Amino acid sequence: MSMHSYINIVITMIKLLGIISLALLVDGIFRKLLARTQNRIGPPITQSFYDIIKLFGKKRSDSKGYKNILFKTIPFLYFISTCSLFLFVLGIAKFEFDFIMLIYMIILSSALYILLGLVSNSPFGAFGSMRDMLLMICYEIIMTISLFSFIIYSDVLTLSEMNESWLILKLPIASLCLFVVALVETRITPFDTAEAEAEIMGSIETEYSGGNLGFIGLSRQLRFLFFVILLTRLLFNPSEILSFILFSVLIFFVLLFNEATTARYKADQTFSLLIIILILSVIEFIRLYFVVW
Amino acid sequence: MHDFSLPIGPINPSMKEPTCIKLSLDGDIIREAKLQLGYIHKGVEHLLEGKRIEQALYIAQRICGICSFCHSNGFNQTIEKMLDYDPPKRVKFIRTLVTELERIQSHILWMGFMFHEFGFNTMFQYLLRDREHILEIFERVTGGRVHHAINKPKTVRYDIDEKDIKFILEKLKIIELQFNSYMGIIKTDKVTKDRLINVGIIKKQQAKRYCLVGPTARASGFNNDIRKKHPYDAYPYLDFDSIMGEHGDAYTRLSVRFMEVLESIKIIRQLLRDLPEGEIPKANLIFIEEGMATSQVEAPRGENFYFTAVKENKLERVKIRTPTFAVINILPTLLENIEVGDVPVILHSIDPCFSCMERVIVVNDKKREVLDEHAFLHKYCNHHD
Repeated sequence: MSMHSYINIVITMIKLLGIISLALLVDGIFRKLLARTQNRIGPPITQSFYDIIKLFGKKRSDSKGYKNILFKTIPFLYFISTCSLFLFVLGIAKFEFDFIMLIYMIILSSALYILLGLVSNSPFGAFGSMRDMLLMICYEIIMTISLFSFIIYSDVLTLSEMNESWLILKLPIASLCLFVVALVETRITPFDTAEAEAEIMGSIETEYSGGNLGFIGLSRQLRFLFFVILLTRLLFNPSEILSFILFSVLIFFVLLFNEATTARYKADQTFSLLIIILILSVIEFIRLYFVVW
Repeated sequence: MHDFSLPIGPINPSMKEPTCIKLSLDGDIIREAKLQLGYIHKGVEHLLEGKRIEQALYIAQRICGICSFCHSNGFNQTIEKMLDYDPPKRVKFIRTLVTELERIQSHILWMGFMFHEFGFNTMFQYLLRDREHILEIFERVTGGRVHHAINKPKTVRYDIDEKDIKFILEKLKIIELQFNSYMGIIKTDKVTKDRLINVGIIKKQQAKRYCLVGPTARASGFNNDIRKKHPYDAYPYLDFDSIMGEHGDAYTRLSVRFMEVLESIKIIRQLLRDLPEGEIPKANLIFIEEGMATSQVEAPRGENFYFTAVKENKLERVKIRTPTFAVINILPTLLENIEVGDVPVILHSIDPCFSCMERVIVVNDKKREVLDEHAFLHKYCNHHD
């Protein structure tokens, strides 16, 4: 490899580190603002950094699934797969039909999360995984159809070439579907069914501790940031960096509003709602057939 | 044969006290629910035996952290019955005031946790903020925010003055305003309604058969309000309604408790308006040679029953039947053939308080044995996990 390639790798790593820091900061702001809306003082916005540092400094507890090699490795794989999502939305990795790879990576990341629960040898983890699997059947299809709707309407082959702005007005139903998927993927009410702590405790994460839990926590924060950026890119796609930040903040506040003002649906209720959203996304896709071709 | 077993408890975020429900699942549907108690047994009844009346009163009001006054009031009533003593009207009014304030704070706390059970944490936090107003009233009127040790045999420890009355009325006005706006949320929020309507239905016949008490029974249309059926303290002088529901689901139980808060505010306004003039009697030492009596009070969760037997000014036997003891029996039936997602909502909708309820079963079988419920079932009923 040439010197230029090494420099590129270093720059990419620095960018990813920046993204991780940003994700932690965004999570801290989210927690603080949520606390303020709930009439609480809340933690400082740097609390997420402290949490992660503390988790990585802790020993792993003696869990039932600890002897399983998958139990030890999957949190790291989940973290890596979540990090790799940013390679696409930030334009670090760009090639023809890269959006297919992006969809694949999102599904892989979700599948690894489900696997976390299954290998943890805990009834709560298995139950959380079962619920997530049930929902994944629906929401990943909705996401794929909605993403294809955006790509087909924009008539581009790579994500970085997308130059259509304000697609939220041109593809309102697909935008709505994608927003609902973002709520499910980021575990925001009313769709945080897979993590309902009142009935299944820590759900998929029940048996994890120390660094492994740190990786899972980091991945969760990265996924939140990823969906904020993805929604801003697809729904508004502003050309200037300042307007990009402004629209990202808008999406952030809409997600925060949802978390603060709604209760949690049950698994079957979420599933029924996602079926309706799935039908809507298919209708939008069929509508596109007449609009584009 | 069930394909999956899920333990809820003894340590679980949906339970504020340790208890265990073992669920046998068929997919997401519960086929069997077994309730295991005995994690928080304190032996209160045994602890009370042999104590002097003043000491026993101190213990009785610490049986529950949410409805401590109702316990001291129930116990006090048995003592006053034995003494054949009718307290002055002002004492009765002050006792009723604290009872109703306790009902408000208990219901608000319950509602907060109920919202928390299905993920509506903002409402949970708002309700805790509102409960703080009642705790401030308690602090001012009784000196204690949680254990308001205001009861004494024949009297109350503190009187209230005009400044206290003004303070209470101001605080109640704030709570009333908030609750009217919350009522709008309950009636319109779709997710809340979807999570609560038709969940954990208790029909009127079931409520009667299981001898349910309190708001849980009233939500099913079964009225057993002790304040109306066997009026005590200042209730005979008051004009109020027992809030009734019909459908008997978790949503009705929530609505009934919401309306009960507003009704309690109405009762307190009447109490403060009609508060009799005069002094409260000073507390004196009492002596009871021998006697036994029973009493019933309407605690926030329902009927609280006390049986007390005294000999030479010491308690010979105390039997306490807390409201949770009456409502907990229906829980395994309610949990059958429902989804796991409904468990926290149903469990919380009957407002259980395990720490006041836990009892042991004493079996005299030549030699004396003391067993908890689980051990009793295991040994004598061929009951296996």
